[in-house]
Amino acid sequence: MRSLFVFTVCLAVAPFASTQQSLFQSSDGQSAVYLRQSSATLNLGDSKASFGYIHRVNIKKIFWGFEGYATANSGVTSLFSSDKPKAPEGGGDFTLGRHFVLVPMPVAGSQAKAREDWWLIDVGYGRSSFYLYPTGSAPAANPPKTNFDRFRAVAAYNFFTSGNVIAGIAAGAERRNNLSDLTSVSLETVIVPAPTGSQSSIVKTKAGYYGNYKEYIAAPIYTDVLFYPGQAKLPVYGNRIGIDFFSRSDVAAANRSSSGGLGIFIFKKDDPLTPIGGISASFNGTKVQVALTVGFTFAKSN
Amino acid sequence: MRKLTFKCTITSGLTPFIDLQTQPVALHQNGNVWSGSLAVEVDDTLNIAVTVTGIEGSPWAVDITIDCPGGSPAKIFSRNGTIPQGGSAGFTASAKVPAQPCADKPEIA
Repeated sequence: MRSLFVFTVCLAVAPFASTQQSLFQSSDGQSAVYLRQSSATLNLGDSKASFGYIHRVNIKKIFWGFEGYATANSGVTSLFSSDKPKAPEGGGDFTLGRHFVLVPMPVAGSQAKAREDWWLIDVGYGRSSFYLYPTGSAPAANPPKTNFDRFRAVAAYNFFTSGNVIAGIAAGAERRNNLSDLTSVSLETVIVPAPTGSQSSIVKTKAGYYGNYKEYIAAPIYTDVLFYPGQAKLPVYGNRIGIDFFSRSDVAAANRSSSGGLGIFIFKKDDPLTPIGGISASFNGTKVQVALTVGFTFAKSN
Repeated sequence: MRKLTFKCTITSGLTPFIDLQTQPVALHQNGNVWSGSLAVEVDDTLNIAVTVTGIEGSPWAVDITIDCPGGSPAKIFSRNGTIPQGGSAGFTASAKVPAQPCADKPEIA
């Protein structure tokens, strides 16, 4: 068996949802385009490390993959307007899919125009722990940690045509929380009070989140159309350029939202299906959010 | 006729297909490199059919070799190019298979 290991180092504001989704990501770290960008990643921006595997054989339509991941903290940067706090989280994803769903598998030697499609189901689980300081209640000196179990099931369909277009749609359900809407705070517990005549005291701090915490079921729908304009390349370096038109929606009644945007991605030289970075901007009707993803990838077989 | 095992290595962004003597070769994906082996009966000619797919303008390559014990593989067939407009390239070809592929073989860099 031959496997694919890809190591990616990313400086990104956007979180990785799944390595199998590749670096095509909007600012929320999501994409409807699932490429062969598996498998081990270290995301500095999100302080996330992950490891995965995809098993694919050309004459077999079914493929599968998995990923495990862990995030350490809120990441190192909020340069591009993503100042939302995140809690440490660990989890995994399992992917099962099929190529040549509506498009017939070509015969070797055929010179017909290329078309290829694939669908997949991506099922994931993640668990995070954090301190919560709800609005309107005095915090305890030793507050218990709150645990959150994230579940996610997404079905995606991707279609490649004309030699320069990959379109994708993904829809599913995810158990989420509103942690990113809360305020990142620190609880200070005085260990040694300030002596008389001094303003200095010794305190213990516990980072957490302040606000009205909620858990809810989201129904995300993502669409992407990735277009390679002609033979557009980076001057001097020669890397191909792709433009991603995308939409991100949550159609669940509790948290209905929608945004759309545009991303520009740069690809590995001679491999225009392996992005090495990009910049995307999305607009949700009230504010523009810009995300930068930079990475480099190398693969090793075993 | 003799049965020889041919190793196929194809560089292709999306799914490639290759038949040797009209039999499909199972290729395992490793990034944009796909590889696999197939044992087929040949006399002195290997019939090859290939389709590669990818983003137009991206490079593709097909290499067919025979593993040689204790040495570098014997090159049987090699072709490369660029994915044309439309996103796929297909061709059929024949390759001469030496009587002793591992003896007096051309070295592959």
